[in-house]
Amino acid sequence: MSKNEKKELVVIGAGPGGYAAAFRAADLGFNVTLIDPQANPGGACLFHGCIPAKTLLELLSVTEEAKDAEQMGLYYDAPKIDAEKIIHWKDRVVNELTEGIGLLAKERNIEYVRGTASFLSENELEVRSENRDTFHLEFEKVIIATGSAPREHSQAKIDHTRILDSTDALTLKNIPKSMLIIGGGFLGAELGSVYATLGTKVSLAEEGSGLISWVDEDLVKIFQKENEDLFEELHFKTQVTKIVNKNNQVLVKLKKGNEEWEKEYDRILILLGRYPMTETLNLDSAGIEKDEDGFIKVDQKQKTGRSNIYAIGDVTSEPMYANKATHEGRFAAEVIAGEDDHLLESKPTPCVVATTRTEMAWCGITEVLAKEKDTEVKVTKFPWVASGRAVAVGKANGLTKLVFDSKSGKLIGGGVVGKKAGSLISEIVLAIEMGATAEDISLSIHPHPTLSETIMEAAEMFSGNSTHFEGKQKKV
Amino acid sequence: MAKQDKKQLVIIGAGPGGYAAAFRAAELGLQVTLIDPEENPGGVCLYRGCIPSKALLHITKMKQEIASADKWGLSFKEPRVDLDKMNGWKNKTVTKLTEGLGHLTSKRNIEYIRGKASFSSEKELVIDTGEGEVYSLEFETVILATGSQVMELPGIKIDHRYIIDSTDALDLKDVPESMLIIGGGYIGLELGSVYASLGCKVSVAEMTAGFLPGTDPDLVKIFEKENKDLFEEVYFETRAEEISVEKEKVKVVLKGKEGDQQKVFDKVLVAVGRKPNSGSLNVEKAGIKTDRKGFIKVNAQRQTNLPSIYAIGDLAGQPFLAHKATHEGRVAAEVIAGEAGAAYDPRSIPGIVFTYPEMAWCGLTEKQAKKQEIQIKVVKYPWTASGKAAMKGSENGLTKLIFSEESGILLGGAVAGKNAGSLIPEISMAIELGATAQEISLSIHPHPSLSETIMEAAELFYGAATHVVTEKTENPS
Repeated sequence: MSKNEKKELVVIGAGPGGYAAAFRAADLGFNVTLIDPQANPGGACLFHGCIPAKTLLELLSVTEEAKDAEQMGLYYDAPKIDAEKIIHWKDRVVNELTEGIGLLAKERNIEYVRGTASFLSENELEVRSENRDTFHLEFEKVIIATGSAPREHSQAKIDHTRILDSTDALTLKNIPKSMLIIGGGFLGAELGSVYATLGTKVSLAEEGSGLISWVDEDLVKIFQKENEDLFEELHFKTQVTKIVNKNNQVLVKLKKGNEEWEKEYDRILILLGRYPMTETLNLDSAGIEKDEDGFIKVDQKQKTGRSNIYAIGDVTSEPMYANKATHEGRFAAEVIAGEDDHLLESKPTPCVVATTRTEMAWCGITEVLAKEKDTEVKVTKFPWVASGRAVAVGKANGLTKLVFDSKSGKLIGGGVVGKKAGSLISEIVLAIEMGATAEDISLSIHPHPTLSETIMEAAEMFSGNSTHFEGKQKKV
Repeated sequence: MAKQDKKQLVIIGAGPGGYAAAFRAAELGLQVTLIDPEENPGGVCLYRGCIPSKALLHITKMKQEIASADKWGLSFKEPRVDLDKMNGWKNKTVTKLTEGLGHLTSKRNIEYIRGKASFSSEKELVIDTGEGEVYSLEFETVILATGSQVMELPGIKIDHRYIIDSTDALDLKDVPESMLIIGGGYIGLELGSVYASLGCKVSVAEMTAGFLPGTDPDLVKIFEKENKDLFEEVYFETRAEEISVEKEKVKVVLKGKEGDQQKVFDKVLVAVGRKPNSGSLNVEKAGIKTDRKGFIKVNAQRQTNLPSIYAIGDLAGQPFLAHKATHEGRVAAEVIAGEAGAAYDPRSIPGIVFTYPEMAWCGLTEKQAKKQEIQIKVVKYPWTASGKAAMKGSENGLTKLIFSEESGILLGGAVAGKNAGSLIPEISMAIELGATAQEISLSIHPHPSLSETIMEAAELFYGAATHVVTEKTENPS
């Protein structure tokens, strides 16, 4: 690598946002330098986030299927679980994918620098490479894509032995007898189900009123009901006031209302969300501003206050989703190449939460958001008991819900819960993106018998009853 | 039931086309009479087609999936199979759904007549309840929705015991040691998968040169690669003739390229397709026109040559798919109720073969494009580049999109692989909405998910996708 020439475009951070930006920029003809501490691109998502988590969920969901199979006349004994093999399989998936992305970077002639970068000024970076070699790099343009890191708990330091973060939990090095998860967001539900399926007695403490409590109540209710018996105890509206190590266990003090109690667990897993990772960047030297929550401020073109410096992904805003970062990354590359004929404004970003049992997904303006924004909406709900497919495969406990703008009749949001519910959300997103009305959706022929028919029938309900369900619609 | 008065709207046949038409018409304020020989609405699809087969295919899929979990560290012993319970599950599913439909029928104040109807003139039907009661019924408007029936082969008599049809096969009374399936279409492949997974040695004889004649060969290739050991023997370009039952076995002569060979099976399943059920209707008494193959001729409003008589579903033409019938049923009901603009003009009808892995397609195919001289650009995204597919080792899959070369508008799509069927509704919807490659690639897809392959395939329309490099980028460094 030639360290002295001025780089045309430097991308800092090679997660799904960073590498997508680098690849798009390279495809558009730029000379791209991509900087990341890992051996290959992938970032938190591939190395210790979505990919290992969803892989474990996928692999372990089979044990739930085997239980389900009993009602259909297939009797399975409990499986022999080979944790080493599971870890190996998961690591192989991560390695194959990240090596694949490394290869794609090479094929695109992207200069990959293994290391971390911080700003010296608005046109110079200091790079500390993996072998502690430090050098300076001048640049014309930069895209910051350093992502986010797990948040810690005020009462405990993560020691990575007994008090764990999500990264530790995903290594699956140890399957403890008991575990307390602090935080009932989607990682809490997902990893909780992973450990429960592997035999750990998992308890969960959450300050809010339920699992993933910011999502529409009717969806969450079904999600929680399907999953609650995976957990030993579920404590909502509960605070963890003390965490101390004691005789190879962790002693925790919990507080709910006026009630307070102590309990010991083998492991504590802290899953309190993530914060934007800007600390190593030395943003001040470049004069880049952050907001009060620590996010880098960007405009609609992903540009920071400095006209040659862009930022994308978790480091700029919620929601911290890989797919949002990827799109922002590709968009920023297009802006830099002068090919931005569209805006990224208010995209319906889908989110999928999965446990070993069931899934919940939503996108666009959900009912909760509509209320917050005072948007007049018409909500239709199609319960899966009325779906032939869901009944035939024993998954009738589910719901498909669509949110339409009352005035225009256009679809603006949606949510689904139930087994494989995640597979329905992409269609809903596309329909929102295309400005589809209820009629457009109901006139699109859906294959029978599939769960996707629930989308069509929910759309039919916009103007009355659907073929398979008689129900009232409600106006918010 | 008032038998004497003239009925406003009569629907003959209560399958997914007939009952959807009835429900929609009732919703729009019409007085509806629905006639079907079964106790409840549902038709072939619910009683002896899609629903029972999918219940069984789901069990098959679970069994295969659970068996593959050994690869990643979850080893299950072979399950104990309780065939009675499996049948019970399937039957319970059918009962639950058809009873639900019956319930919706009465809730919607639809008059349900259990029986068979045929025309005595263009204004009158004869109803036979099958219990000795025969009477006539006058009508203002009729929708014909009697569907289709299993096609037989000349010279082969189905005895429902040794030589069976798909209805018998779905009954799952026992699992024979060996079975020959005549016909390598989707029914043959689906039922073949079910029986093979239950331990039956299944062989297939197909007249043409491959499975699923007419289907995109790219998809079939993926199915074949995953199912090398599924079938005992596969005979292509082969006819099964001289079938006889001797000593509780079926003797068959297979006539193929390599000459004749005699084989013996416990059972033979004839799955060579279906034909429209127009014969029993006495359509000639009403003067309704049919084509050579027995399909009733209809216009876009699904109206026959007689303005007060409509026909939908399998009766009105290919493809024989429940969801096409449902759509047509709703269209016909809307036309009759006077809804402006109601017509049958889909750009995309999705089809799914629920094998393991699945194959699915919708809209324009490459073959049709060639025939119609439409300039297309085909993009193929292999699942080896999908993170989601990698998780369970299901990289053997393909997402294929067919765009108008000039406008970039999506015209067709095809997918094969594990759970491929779940991708087709989005593709089909995109075709109906006239989405372009750019619109699809800019729609944010969940990560990691199989649906990302649709997004990335759309990216390929313009060159490289995030996870696939097709054209080397020019880079002077």
